[in-house]
Amino acid sequence: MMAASIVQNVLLKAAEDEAEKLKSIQVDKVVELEYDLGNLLAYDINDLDVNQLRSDKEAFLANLSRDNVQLLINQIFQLPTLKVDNEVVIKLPAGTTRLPRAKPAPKEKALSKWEKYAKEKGITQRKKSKATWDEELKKWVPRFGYKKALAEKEKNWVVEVPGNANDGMDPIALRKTKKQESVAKNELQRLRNISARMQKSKAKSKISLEPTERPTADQLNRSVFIAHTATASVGKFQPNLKEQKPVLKSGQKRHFDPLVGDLKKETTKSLDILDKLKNKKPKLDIEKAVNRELNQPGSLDYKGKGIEKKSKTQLKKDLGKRKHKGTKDKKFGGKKGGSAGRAPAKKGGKRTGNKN
Amino acid sequence: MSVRITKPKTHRGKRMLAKREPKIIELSKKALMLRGATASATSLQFVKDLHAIKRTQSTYFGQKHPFNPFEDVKPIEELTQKYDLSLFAFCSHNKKRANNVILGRIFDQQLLDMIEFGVEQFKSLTEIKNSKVMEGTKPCLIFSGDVWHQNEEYSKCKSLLIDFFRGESVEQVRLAGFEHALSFTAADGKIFLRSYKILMTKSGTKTPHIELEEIGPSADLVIRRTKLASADLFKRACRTPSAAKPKKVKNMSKDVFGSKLGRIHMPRQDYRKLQVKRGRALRTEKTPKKSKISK
Repeated sequence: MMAASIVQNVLLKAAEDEAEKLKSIQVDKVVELEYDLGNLLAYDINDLDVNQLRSDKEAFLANLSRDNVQLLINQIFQLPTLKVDNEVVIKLPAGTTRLPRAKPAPKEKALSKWEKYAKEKGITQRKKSKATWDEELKKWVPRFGYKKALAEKEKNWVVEVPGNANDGMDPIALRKTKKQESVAKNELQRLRNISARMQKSKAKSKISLEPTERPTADQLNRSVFIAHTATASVGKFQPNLKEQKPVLKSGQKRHFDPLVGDLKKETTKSLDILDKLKNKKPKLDIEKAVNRELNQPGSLDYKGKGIEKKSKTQLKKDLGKRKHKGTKDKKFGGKKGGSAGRAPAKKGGKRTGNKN
Repeated sequence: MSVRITKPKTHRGKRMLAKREPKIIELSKKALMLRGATASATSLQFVKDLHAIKRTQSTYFGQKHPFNPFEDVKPIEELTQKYDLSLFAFCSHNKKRANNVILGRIFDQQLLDMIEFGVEQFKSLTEIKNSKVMEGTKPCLIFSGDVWHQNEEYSKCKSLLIDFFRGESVEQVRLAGFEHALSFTAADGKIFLRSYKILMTKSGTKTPHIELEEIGPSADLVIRRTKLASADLFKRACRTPSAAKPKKVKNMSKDVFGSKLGRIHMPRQDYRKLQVKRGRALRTEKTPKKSKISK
């Protein structure tokens, strides 16, 4: 009996020791974490104890990280596994976080003339061998390259000239020019394909209303649409042409904030509006100005319209020099405004008035 | 994007151009690490440590670049265009902005967004003396704190940090391959970046018990200036082509036993044209007809 209880105690103690060695993987959190296993991500939205953070930063962060990594690993090890090369491997799912790309998605390339024809006829490309057996030379000649050129030279070292040919004809030079012509033709066709592709993409990107000699289908569609909607009721009661397709809403979608939501945002917006109304000086949006200048250079140049702020002495000088010769001159501006639209005043001389 | 008119003269050139073409499913983003003209020791070491983490996926240029990204991003855009990179890190330092590091992203050869961080309490990889993690391991990323969701700036910052640190996108990982963990805790107006090595020990179950060992770098980041993308630009950048989206399998369901079922949709039958008469071969004969073949 004693022996049995001793054995029991020993076994119990052994079990306890074992259990101590194997630590738990359980972590308790108020709110469950969100996971994106494809990217090995975990978001912990639980509240952080800021006081603890401030008092013992590194220990707090280490504990927090350990708990969160434990939870992430728990999730990861639930995923299906496979064996690859005697190694157990976990298969990760696709990532769920939407991240921006580095380059825009590739657009479908327009088919070239040959590609269209081949598609129509069902012609497929067949893989060609690197070399072919040449009966004359009794050897394997590559399909392209300098070895092919040498082989060709070997084969065609002599050219038979027919009896009725001109005396001045040089068949070898003729051969050379023929080759040059075929290369030029190939180049021309390649460039033509490229220009056709560019025309299509240009037509899609910026469909302008400027008159062109050969409007593309897209341009015509756009013109039809604009003509259709250029009525007082924006084309609503305008009957469609015979084969006119209705155009879906295009352009930027207007974005409206929700009615009830962020109170702070609403107050700041309203106060902003009041500020702008109150302001005596116009606010300069530098980005907008730069973009405007880039896209329409010269549109923001001062064209002499409006009042130019000058000092009082300068104004007096200008007034004195100007001759009122049938101009609609008011105090400062005129048809062309102040002195900006005119030639600079000659030094020391009387300014001749506006001769217009 | 302009169409290339001149053909590449070498096969190598052709392959390089093909590599730079936009693809349906993109390869992992590569980063450009730049040293600014006014970089301090701390900010420079931070950028060098970032390069150490991203090793094969980044290029580090150690010359002093007199750039000011928030004034003019063009030189950085040009460099990223030249070397086909889509992330960048730039370090600088002045009295007003001490130990400054700018992390940014490029989309379509133009700046997408960039955020300026102040690096405080920095401990470099070299300062913490222990064995590190093999380069190129995919790190586990942990974002703690609810500020990451709530604040617009922080959520864009989170997206940028994920993009920067997530490493190559892989489908399979060895069980023992989870070695590196990066933890970003947003609290108290700062972002605490800590980097750990994951040590797995036995637990009673299949899943191991985790212990972390700090390997560095460790920094307290403060968000300074930001230049974020407008909503529609960001949307455009996130757009995935339809070919990359997973195909939806239609008309497939499984019953209780696991066998695949599908529905066949029949058109409406015209009962006037029902085939009632059976062909000769299908008719069951009551008396066998004498065959025409004579004996």
